[in-house]
Amino acid sequence: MTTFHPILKNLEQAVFSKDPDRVDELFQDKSITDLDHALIVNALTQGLETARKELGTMTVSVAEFLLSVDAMRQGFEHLKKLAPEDKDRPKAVIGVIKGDVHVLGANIIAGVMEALGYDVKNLGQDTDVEQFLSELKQSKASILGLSSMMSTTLADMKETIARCKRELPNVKIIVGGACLDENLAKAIGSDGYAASAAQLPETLDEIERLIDPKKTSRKYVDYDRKIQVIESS
Amino acid sequence: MDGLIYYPTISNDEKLKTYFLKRIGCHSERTLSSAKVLDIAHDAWKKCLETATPKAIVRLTQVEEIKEDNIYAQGISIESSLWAGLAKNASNPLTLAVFALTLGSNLSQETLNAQKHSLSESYILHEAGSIIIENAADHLETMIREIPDLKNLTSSRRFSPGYCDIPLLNQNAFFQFLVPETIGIQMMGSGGMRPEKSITAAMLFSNRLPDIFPCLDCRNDKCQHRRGKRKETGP
Repeated sequence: MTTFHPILKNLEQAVFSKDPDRVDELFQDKSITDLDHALIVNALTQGLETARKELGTMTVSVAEFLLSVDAMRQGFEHLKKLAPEDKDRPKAVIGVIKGDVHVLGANIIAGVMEALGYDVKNLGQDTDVEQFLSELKQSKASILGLSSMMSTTLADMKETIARCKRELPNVKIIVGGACLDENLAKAIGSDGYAASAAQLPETLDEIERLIDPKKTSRKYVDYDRKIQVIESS
Repeated sequence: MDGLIYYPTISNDEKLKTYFLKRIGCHSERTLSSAKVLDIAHDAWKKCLETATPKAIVRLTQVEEIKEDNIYAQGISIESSLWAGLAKNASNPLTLAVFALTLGSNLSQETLNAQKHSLSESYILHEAGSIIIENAADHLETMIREIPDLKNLTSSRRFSPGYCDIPLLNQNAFFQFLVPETIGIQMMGSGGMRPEKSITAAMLFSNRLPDIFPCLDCRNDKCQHRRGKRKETGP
């Protein structure tokens, strides 16, 4: 398998340099159809990972980082047309708790999770527990992400977590949002807390270990750049 | 008294736009990693100004009683120890101007639509909306101060449910008093509002007010929203 092609480097660079138009351009190149799907995904996500690190050190603004997310999503859209969808991606459901319409943070997290290799169903704002349960059952997702910016929705969040754990004990739950911190996240019964998109990969690693301590990560991003594609175990 | 309908305007000056650009990270002190952000920001600002339709409902009422944690006025009681403390030291009579303001549902829809193709654009629109509604609220405050019954009185700054000085649980009282549904604002079970860019707030009017906001009496010195230093309370 070819592990290097100039177009891969260019794709990574286009995502990192926040250039969705350049991503479009690169997908017009016919040589991209000869490349392994996973290598293209890896290039796109490598670009986003570098941008995420910049966000973590506050070298770029949120608006700039989101342009990288847009560029990556653009690439994923092209990929869908090029190749059949990868059915083996770990599945996650995400949404904003009932009573809250602040959806932007959840959208950012959903975008980063997609970049990390997850198949994400984003239920958006004002989502009640029945919608979460129904989507989790239908998609057989292993991770649920709950977001809220308002302290008045915490009781609903706690109830949603309790219901999901009762009905779907194998699903692990990550929470985030302005009204939470790590202690509160634990107190309401979640399995993990993500303070920001920059912290998300570490939280997901912890969650993955809770799901299956022996399983090799199926996530695409190769943080140490030692290998090009990470296969599932 | 029925609610009065107002149409505050949004200031379209460069200063406000510069503030917006700075807030999303576009300012002269740093180099942007992508010029495209600036293009999106200019477009989003324009779109926001074109799409927002500020509309407000205002009601005035007389304060009847002030207790430690509550301001009791005709038709509404507001639970806030900080504002009750401030009101207690004001001269009577004390008038409360209560209002709800929205930028309308078109802007919310634009922001949601943008999410489908660009999270960056959606975020920038969201930030522009936040700045614009605060600007419209500033203009509405000026309009309220021009109401003949209030014109010669001293006014406090506006205070809104959901901030540290007045819990979000007060939202229900604001909605019962104002009925902002008449201008298209719905309250959710959590106290949040639809359209998202909506504000409820109140202002106190009196011949003499000790302060225009209660932060000076608040013990939370580290609060990021604090306005001014705390008063010394003892030796």
